[in-house]
Amino acid sequence: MIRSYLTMVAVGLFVFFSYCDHGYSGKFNKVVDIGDQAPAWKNLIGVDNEQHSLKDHKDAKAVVVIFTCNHCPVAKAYEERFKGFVKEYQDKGVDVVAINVSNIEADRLDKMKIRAKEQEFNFEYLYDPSQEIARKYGATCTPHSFVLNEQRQIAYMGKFDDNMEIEKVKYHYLRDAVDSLLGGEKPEVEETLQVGCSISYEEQG
Amino acid sequence: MIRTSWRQGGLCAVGIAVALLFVVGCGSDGSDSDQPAAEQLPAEVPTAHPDSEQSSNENETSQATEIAVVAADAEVYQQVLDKHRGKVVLVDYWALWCIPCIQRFPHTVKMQQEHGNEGLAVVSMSFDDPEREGDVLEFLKKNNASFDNLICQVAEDKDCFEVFNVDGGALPHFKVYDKTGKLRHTFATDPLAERQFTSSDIEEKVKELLAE
Repeated sequence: MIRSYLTMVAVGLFVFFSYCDHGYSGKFNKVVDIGDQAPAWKNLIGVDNEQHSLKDHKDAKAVVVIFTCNHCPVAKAYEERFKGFVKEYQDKGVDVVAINVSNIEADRLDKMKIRAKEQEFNFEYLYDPSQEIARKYGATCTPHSFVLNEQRQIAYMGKFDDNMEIEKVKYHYLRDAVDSLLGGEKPEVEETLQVGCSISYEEQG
Repeated sequence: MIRTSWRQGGLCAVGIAVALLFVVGCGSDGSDSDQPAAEQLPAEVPTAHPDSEQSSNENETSQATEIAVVAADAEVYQQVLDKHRGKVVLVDYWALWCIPCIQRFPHTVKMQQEHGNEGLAVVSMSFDDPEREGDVLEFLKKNNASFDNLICQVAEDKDCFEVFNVDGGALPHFKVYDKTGKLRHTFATDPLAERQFTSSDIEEKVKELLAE
């Protein structure tokens, strides 16, 4: 009897800690925090049919990682901004990598290729059907962005900017963060709450 | 009975209650779920709208209520929750730009139709730009959303997703409050979860709270 109570105590405490101390690492991110070493992806296929890894960007002063997809209207609304950012920052040593982990029909690799071509993406667009890389970054929605500094630590994460309607944007969080890093400073705003379409995570086997 | 009580877990309160129950109250098993929570509540559900000046048609039967959308900040939201004290409240956070939200919305309407007379109140909260209120209303009418429909409108320096604690900033998102007005279940995208929530999960939790 005592043993069963002890078991129940253990269960109770487990429930308590697993739900209460749900361990938000960042303010809004359950998995990673500012300053953490960025999870590295290896050999993810891109729309160019090549394999891509984080270490390919070893010379970059900063790497911007954006979890995105084809179908989400919010992600689509940002594509032009991503392209504009690349144009502006590629000569400053900033690389941009977009990663899709959604396996719904509209987001699969063949559709990614079509989207990248139609929209003339000027950045890597990679596919991780295992969804592992997004889980490692604690990505929740598309778009969800991260800025990695020269040491490949997470220096900023969250929104690209503060409004999905470009004409209403007031705060360019990601751009400001990158500017700070390029100027040798820590970003003033290191984390914002990303907003967008839920990432369709599949059941983990 | 203890097992059923912790299986409902998912919220801190349940964990704490269970932990305390076991740690402190080993001799008093059986008291937890037998506690008639409903008896501690106001017996009657207030039906009048506190913001009645905003709704022209105040029919009691939800089916006949004119479908409207009301701009809401945290305060208005709380007023709506308070109005439904004594009922289980399901809140569906959605947006026109969120495809899965659009797909799930009929289920939310169905929940109201099937469980409305068992003590469920449904509230919808759109995160669309308030300038799109017309499109939001059109969608709500088309879907027969005969319940409290809100559209988030917060101060300029605030973010709807933060104000309303939408974990991970991802839609769809749902919250379920019990009859005492306490937030009991949150359904959010979780990159750590073995599986993401489904409409059946929401329905299951709603039914559990209705039975309390």
